[in-house]
Amino acid sequence: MARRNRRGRFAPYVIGAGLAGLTLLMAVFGLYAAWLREPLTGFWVTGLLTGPLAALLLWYGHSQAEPTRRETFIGVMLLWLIIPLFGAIPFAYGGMTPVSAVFESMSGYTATGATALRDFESFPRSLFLYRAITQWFGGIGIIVLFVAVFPQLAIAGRQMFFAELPGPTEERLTPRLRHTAGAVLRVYLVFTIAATVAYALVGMPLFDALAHALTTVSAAGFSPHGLSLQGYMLPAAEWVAIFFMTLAGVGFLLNYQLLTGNPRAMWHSPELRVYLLIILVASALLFLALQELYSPGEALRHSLFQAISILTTTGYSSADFAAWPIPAKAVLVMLMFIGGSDGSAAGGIKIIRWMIIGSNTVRELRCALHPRAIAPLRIGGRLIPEEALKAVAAFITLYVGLVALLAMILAWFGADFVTAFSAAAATVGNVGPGLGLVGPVAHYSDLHSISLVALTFGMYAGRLEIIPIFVLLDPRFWRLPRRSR
Amino acid sequence: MRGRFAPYLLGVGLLALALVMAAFSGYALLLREPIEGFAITALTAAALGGLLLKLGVRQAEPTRREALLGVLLLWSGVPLIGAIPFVHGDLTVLNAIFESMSGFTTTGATVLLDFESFPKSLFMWRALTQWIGGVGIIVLFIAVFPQLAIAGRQLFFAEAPGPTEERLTPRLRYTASAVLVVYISLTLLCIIGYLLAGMTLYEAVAHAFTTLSAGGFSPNELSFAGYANPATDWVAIVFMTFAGANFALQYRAVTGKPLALLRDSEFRTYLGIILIGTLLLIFALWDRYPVLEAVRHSLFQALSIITTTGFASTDFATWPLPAQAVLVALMFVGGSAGSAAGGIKVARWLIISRQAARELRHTLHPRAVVPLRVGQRTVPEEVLRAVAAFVTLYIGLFAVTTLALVWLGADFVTALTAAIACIGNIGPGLGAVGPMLNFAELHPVSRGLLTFGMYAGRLEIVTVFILLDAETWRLPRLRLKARG
Repeated sequence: MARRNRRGRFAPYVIGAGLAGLTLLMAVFGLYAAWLREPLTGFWVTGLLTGPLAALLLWYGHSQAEPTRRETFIGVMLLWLIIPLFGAIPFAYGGMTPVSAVFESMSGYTATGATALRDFESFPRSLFLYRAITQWFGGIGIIVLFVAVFPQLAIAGRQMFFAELPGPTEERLTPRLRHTAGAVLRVYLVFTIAATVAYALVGMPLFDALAHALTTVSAAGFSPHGLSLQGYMLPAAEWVAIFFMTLAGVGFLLNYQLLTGNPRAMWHSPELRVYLLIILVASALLFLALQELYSPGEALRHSLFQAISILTTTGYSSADFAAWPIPAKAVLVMLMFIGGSDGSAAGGIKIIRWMIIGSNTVRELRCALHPRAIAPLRIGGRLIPEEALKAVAAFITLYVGLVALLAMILAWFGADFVTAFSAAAATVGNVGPGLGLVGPVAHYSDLHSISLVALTFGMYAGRLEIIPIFVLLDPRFWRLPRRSR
Repeated sequence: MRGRFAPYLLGVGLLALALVMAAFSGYALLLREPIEGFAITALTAAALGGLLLKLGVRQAEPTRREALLGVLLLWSGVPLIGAIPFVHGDLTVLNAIFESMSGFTTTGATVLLDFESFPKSLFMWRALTQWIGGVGIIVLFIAVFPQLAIAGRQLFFAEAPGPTEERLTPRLRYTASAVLVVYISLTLLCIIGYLLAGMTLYEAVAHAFTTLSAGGFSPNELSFAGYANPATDWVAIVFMTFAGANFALQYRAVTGKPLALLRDSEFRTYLGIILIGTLLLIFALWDRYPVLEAVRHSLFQALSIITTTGFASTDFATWPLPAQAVLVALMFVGGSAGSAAGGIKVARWLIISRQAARELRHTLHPRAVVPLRVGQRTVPEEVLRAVAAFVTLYIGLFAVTTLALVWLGADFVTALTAAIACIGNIGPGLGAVGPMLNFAELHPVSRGLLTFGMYAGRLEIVTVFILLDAETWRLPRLRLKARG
């Protein structure tokens, strides 16, 4: 095809495609709600708005094979803003305030799992399922983003991550997107079906089994039950969750290898080993801290469950950990700052980044004694360029800075110390529940509206790894280039 | 003669300590207070010091490792022996060491329960430990660490006063005297200031010692709140500002380059942070105090925390949460490099934030090469890496300490603020370790950990980790092995 000037058309295309998908979803859920005899106003209103808009954008937009960096940035960022915004409408019709609805929707599409829902009893089932689906799609979207888009853009050090799909790497973005999305979808489908069956086999009703499978596989954490998994009182279900959360927190590539019959390859990943080690250490610490509260068997289950739930930033709770002894809570807060493995739908800073920082720190300590010995950084035998190190350091700085800023805003608007700090960490890290007033059996809607808006932004920024957001703040970003590339 | 420098250094330190203890014995005699503590310490320090001097070897040019070991030993040995008078002042051994370390590291966290019956001479010794610790750390920061390229400091004082020769010792002497001039002058002016504001001579001296060293000990149980005197608060405000600023630059400013401070980007950032912190605090304290008081308390407390002094003009542990949040944020900043303030230091934050901005630009234009600049100078890669590693270790130590404290029974707020207040050499925290309380209630192991935290934080952590390196303990094979 002749290269006509298609500048600025990529973002509309992407958003149009997303909205088209949303419209389809609304149609499906409209039917589902009708079948359940539940109100469907929210769904068809949304569909009515997103449908025409999607058509317009798709007509105007053009699926460029190779958009510029700037276009890619804008496309990604607007996508994760616009879809949740429109996707919030069903929640508003379900009885939530606009601010809470947007919070909930963003919490869905960013696979966070923090809820502003007060009344679980009267909330329609169709909306619960929709809520779970938002997380499922959010998870897929984020993996595609991390695996196919960000490495090319070298965001936050990702150029160095081990996230390439096997097979020849498609150079151009859009075909690469399609190829990756297909692979992710397949893996997700397999895991979701397996999880649904597992949950159902241990005693969950089918609806709940599906709803949980959707949010377990995406390491997201929404549950139709107000008390999360604790509410089902099924220890077996908690073990199922433990299994699938662990898988969800592992890099997508590794999951792909597992399913395509190459499980040994998984073990080569240095990140996986550290991931498992952290789970082990954290569970052990929690186990010690929970001795007085539970019998050994229960303590083991709860420790393992909560350690994995927080590390993978899923956010399920098998117990009200906001009421746990302080040492246990402290361990959980620290886990919130670690994050899951790279290339998974887990949030947070990501283990591989901590590994890079750790390697540098050790190297610097050696350097302090032997100033001329500057060894290159290596992880798993692979060389880490200084570029990646700097990007990772900058990312962590911005991440922690954002958490601190949000915590201060929340404190300013009335939250107590623990609530403010844990809420900020739990939303930027896409974990879900925090401590204090935003604990696992509570909800975020008691916070001031401004706090909710700030946290919504936090979820968004944390999910997109913050750097793209800040790039928008650079005036140079908005300067129009002279030539097309 | 390898490995003999550290004992030599400690020996010198202990002998100096012995002299000071002798003086204090005299002072205690004058005040008709018990002198055993001082006398015993004097004898012990003299004996040990003499022994170490026999063992040690003075070296004109120690290796990196030896220099660092010397520093580590000095900052642990002197506080250890210097704790003896406190034991005689009725503290347990652990508490005495805590208090002594809190003095020599200019932290200002106290375990003293009974201020009434504590001898005046001991209060003065406590204040002096901070004054000595202050001048010692400034010299270390300005003259020694840059040479040793510790935690990125090689960038900070390329222009330290003194000859730009490579050799450590002549530069050290020159720098030390320059710093002492500024330090002593400011201390004298501060004493006069406090006198004019209404303090007694004793109080003025004790506070001047701990103001200029950004230490924070006070013979008054309620710190500055106990004087209920706005004038003393303002004097403290003025001199805390100086105490937290770069002493090398201050020397420059008074020896012919008056704009040296204002031209420095770190100093400007330092003032900027004080301003913003103060404004936020005023905003948060609007309802609590009348306007003028709010301004005074905000400025005082913002300065006190950022310079890691730790004085309290009022009980800020009872402040509304937004104000407390601002204080906690300030605890992580630290003062200017080249002052006796603790913390991560403004200069490092400047480097980190500029680097983050640079990374953002790089994300958009990956092929653009923009050097990192702070002030006039370009920041080399190695400094950047060293700063990143330092901050990582700092936060890591903070996290581990907080976790340990929580495990040993403290609540969240107490644990978190106690950890940062000690590692950052600030002094008081919030919760159970607030400015009107003390650290005595904490578990003994917690107090031990915090003592280590004060020590490690003061010596910029990297120094301490060197002890973990196996090579440090290995005896050299060849006599002529390359230095450093």
